Amino acid sequence: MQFWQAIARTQVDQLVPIAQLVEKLGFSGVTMSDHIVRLQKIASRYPYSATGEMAADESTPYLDPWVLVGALSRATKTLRFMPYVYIPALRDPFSVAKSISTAAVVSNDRILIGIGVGWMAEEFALVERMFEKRGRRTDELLAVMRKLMTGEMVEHHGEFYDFPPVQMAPAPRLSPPILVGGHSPLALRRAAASEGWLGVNYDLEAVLPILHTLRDLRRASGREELPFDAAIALNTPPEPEELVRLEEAGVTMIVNPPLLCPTGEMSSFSEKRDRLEAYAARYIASSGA
Amino acid sequence: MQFWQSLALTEMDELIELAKIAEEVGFAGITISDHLATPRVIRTRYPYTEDGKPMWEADDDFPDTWVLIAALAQETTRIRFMPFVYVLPMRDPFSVAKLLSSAAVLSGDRVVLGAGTGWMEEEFALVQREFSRRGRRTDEMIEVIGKLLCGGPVDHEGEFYSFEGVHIAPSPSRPVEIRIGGLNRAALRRAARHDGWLGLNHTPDEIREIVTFLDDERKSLGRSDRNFDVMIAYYPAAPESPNARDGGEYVQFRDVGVDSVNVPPWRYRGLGGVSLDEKRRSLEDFAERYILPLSN
Repeated sequence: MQFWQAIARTQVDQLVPIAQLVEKLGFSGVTMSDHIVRLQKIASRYPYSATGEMAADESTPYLDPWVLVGALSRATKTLRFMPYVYIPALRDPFSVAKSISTAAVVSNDRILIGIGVGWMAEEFALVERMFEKRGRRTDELLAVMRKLMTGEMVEHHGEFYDFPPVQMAPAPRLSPPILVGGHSPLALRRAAASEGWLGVNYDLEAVLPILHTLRDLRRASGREELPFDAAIALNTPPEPEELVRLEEAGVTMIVNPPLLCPTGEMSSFSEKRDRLEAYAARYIASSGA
Repeated sequence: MQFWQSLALTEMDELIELAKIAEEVGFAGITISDHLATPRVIRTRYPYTEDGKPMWEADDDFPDTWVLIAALAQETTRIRFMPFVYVLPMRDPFSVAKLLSSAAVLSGDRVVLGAGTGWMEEEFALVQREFSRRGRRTDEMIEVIGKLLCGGPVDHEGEFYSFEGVHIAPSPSRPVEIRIGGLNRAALRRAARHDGWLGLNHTPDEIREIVTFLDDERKSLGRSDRNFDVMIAYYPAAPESPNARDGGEYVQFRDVGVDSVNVPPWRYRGLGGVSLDEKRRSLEDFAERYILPLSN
């Protein structure tokens, strides 16, 4: 089992020391969030909380995930990075492929691409990208991105994107895995066709049926033997026997939520350090990682 | 005079070391080139060569400006970073503000936005952004980006963008300097409204004329008291006396009002493919010959 730490919403000046600390403590990677803007009025419902509101306020920092990878990867050696989740459909496939390729190159291939199709209609409107059909557009966008990231002269003629031969460089040496977030039937199908699934804020009993569904989908499409990651952020820290059940069900990555509660948004580095050390002592040391 | 080293068209695995060396020997900054993808067929004329053909190949590396800046900034402490130039109207102002503020915050405010309106119509088509009216859109984008970078909720009502209560966090602790590239009058006027102009290869006489134009514009805008930086991209073509330590040809540019020089990458100086050690020596030699005599 890999243990990952969410660093979303962490104060900017603590990001580098936190990344260095979690690497030292044996975490496999860190996850970050993606929002281009925040809006004072949001009519869209946030799908991952009971209230439908985001646990963030106006001053909560959201750095661009790939720019952040640029900095953190140069401050660490083995730590891996994954947005949880990045919304490609807010961008065009060229800008997406360009950012991710460069992040892959400067980090020596230490990135995973965690994606979602997005939920905040207002954010799509601002950047003039269509909110409707964003699922299908995301699929085509990722296909275009994969083509561009081969570094070859490529062309594409699809429903949303159509272009003559172009070439993009630098290209990553390895194609970074794509993990898909969300639990709608469509999201699960998309995940099953990719390299992994990302779960957000689940109870153990809710997540097991989803993992079974993913296994069935992958079996049905003949992808059962291919590598597949399942990452989850649980509502409550797992007990040792729960970890065993999760591992048996196919979970490969546990994501520890951001270090905000109960110490609060502005907790100090030393408060965070104490909690990370306690977490690592409980989970990582005992798992032999 | 300040000297910046371009890291365009340079080996990807040498960029970090070169940024460190440039900082060590006294360069003020690093510039980075911006291209998303290169089409096999480019019908638009490249405005900066005589034959209208671009000066690079389709498989040349153009790393992402902001991701690269964050990586280089993590490995350095003082040197600044600027895209030369970032094509604004291929993007939306919100995405640019987010990328720029992320790089500014992570680098400790060592970022300058070098911006242009672009020339390659094919590249705009790839990202589905309008090519016509890109000058006016650039102006409004700069206004919107400036508002967003101040932090706090922003309203805007304009020709291209209208919105209420939008903000980005984190925002840089001080305003990001904006310098404008381009050779026509519209570009020079746009530059005069901001913090600097980015030129290319010019004669001292041309520069004198451009500086006069910029000064007049800035005066009529009431901006004469503000800092303004005139940059050229130039490297002495003729071999100069090997022992000269007097600033060489750059002196005459300084005397007509050039504040900064973007030193072209090795490939444009006929040194494509030289080793990292040779690049290091060339940076050290450049510093001795030009940076030290002309530092101010």
